[in-house]
Amino acid sequence: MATASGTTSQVESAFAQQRVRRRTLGFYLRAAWKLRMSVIGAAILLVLVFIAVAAPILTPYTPEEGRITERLQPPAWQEGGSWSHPLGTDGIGRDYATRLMYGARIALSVGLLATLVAGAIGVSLGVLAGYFGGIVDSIVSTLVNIMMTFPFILLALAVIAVLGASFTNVVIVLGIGSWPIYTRVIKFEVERIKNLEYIEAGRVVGLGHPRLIGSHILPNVVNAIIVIGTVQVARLIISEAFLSFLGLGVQPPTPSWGYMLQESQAFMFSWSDVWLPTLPGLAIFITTLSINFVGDGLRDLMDPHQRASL
Amino acid sequence: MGAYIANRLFQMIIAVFGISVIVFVITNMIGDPANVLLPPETPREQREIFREEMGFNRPLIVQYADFLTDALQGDFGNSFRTERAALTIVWERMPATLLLTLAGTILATCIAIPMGIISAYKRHTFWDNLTTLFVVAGQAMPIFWLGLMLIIVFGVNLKWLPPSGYGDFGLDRLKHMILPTVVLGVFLAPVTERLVRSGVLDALTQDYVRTARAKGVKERTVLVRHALRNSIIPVITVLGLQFGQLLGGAVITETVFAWPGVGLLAIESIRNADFPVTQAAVVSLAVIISVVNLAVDLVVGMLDPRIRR
Repeated sequence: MATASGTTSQVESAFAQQRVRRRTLGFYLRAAWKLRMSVIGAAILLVLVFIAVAAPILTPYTPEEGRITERLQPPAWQEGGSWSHPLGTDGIGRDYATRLMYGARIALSVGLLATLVAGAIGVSLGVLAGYFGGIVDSIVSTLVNIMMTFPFILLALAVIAVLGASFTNVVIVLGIGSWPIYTRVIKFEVERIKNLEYIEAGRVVGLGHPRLIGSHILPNVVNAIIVIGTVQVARLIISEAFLSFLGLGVQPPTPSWGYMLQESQAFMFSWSDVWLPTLPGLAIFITTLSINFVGDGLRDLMDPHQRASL
Repeated sequence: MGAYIANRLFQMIIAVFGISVIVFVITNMIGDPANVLLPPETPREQREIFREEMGFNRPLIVQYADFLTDALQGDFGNSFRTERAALTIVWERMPATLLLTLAGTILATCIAIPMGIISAYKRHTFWDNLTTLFVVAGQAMPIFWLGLMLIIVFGVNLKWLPPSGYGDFGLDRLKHMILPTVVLGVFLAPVTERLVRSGVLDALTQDYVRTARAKGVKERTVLVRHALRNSIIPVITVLGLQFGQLLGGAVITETVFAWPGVGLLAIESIRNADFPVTQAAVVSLAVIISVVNLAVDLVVGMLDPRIRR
């Protein structure tokens, strides 16, 4: 018995040594230059997160209340604008900059939470299907097949129509609608890994399924999960905005960029109000763009084939 | 090959069946059809009689069996709003969706293939970086906002193009198509470009390309006939498999431009709790997506004997 557990710890420390690899400062500097777009993206993202968190400190206004007497003021740089409302006011006199800042809260939190929900479902199913194969694989593959045959946005719309539109429901729907992408990738990865020698070795020394999956398979698919997850956050932010645009997302008066776009449609008939539909869309675009740049960089960093070129 | 087709057909039937269950359950949860069909002041007893007559008071599973039997014969019931056969309404809208999808795909391909080739051939140069920037920006673009801005700029204010709608057959239709096609093209082009780029990159390292160059084939011919042609199969496969997402993009585009396709119809019917139409629309889309997936699989199998099992 003593010998057996001794072998286990030896095998494990061998694994641990394999994982550690020292890198010099020069490596990081070179990588940062090669990945400059991702570094810029990450910086913009940090600013956005800061704005979202610190919104109440950064602005004297609240997003829900407006003065009707100050309605439709243009941004400060346009004629008739003033610095008391740097980005102007909307149709009922609410400060547009304030609403955009609070909108970042909704976008970022929905995107992140929905991605976590989808990731949890998708990765679990992918690991189970890949590790156990057979009937489990068949069931999971059928589920994935069904999901892939269904325009995701219609599913989301229909479910929201059932559950009612709210923050939680949007997170649930986007999460449930977008898990198959993880399952497909993770399943193939796990199928590949489970036949490698070190898993065989772990099995021989008597590690159980949970231990093998948790300690020896999952750590090897984490990179793939992070890379997919990052890009998914951006996709789900767009989906949330579209749901809100249709009035099926987070409910007013809570400011969401998508809903602001819907409201702005009332003012699309003249050039002078064009900032109203432009700004919320730009906010979405800048957010998703910087996330995608970060995702690109993460993929380059985490994919060993690409890393060689850094 | 026969067994392979049979297996794929079986998978397809299971998928469509699964979707019919999901859509049936969801639409029946949206609301009590009696509430939708009867005026709000209808007394309770009359509601009960009505539900009894329509069979809405039976267990859901019995209703589903009925629904499935009828659906298999192409009968999804009548629209609650217009009283016309739901499937007929859906298929009247199908040409508009297919027209938009086709136009968007063509535009995306025309953008993506040249860009993909240039990007791969001039790897790590200015041109590669420029196309990559375009691709990342395209993927990050909320296309419904792009559509909205195009409407505001070219439709409402410059008045160069009609802002929305379907138009009359002919030149008018073409004018109405331009903006939605651009939006759908921007939605689809980035994915396609990425596939073409990695395909061509891969092909350029292959022996047959080296051989072609060694025997003095012109560089253009090497690129188009050897590299592109060999990398196009995976592009078709992946695009075929993502046909569902393409239709998702079409749904969004139709909504923004009031383009009278199946996507817009489905969204309207969900909002109006018009279940028969929602069910007919979603099942029809699912069948089309499955058929396209299967067709792509088979065509690719014929083109590339290595895939046949």
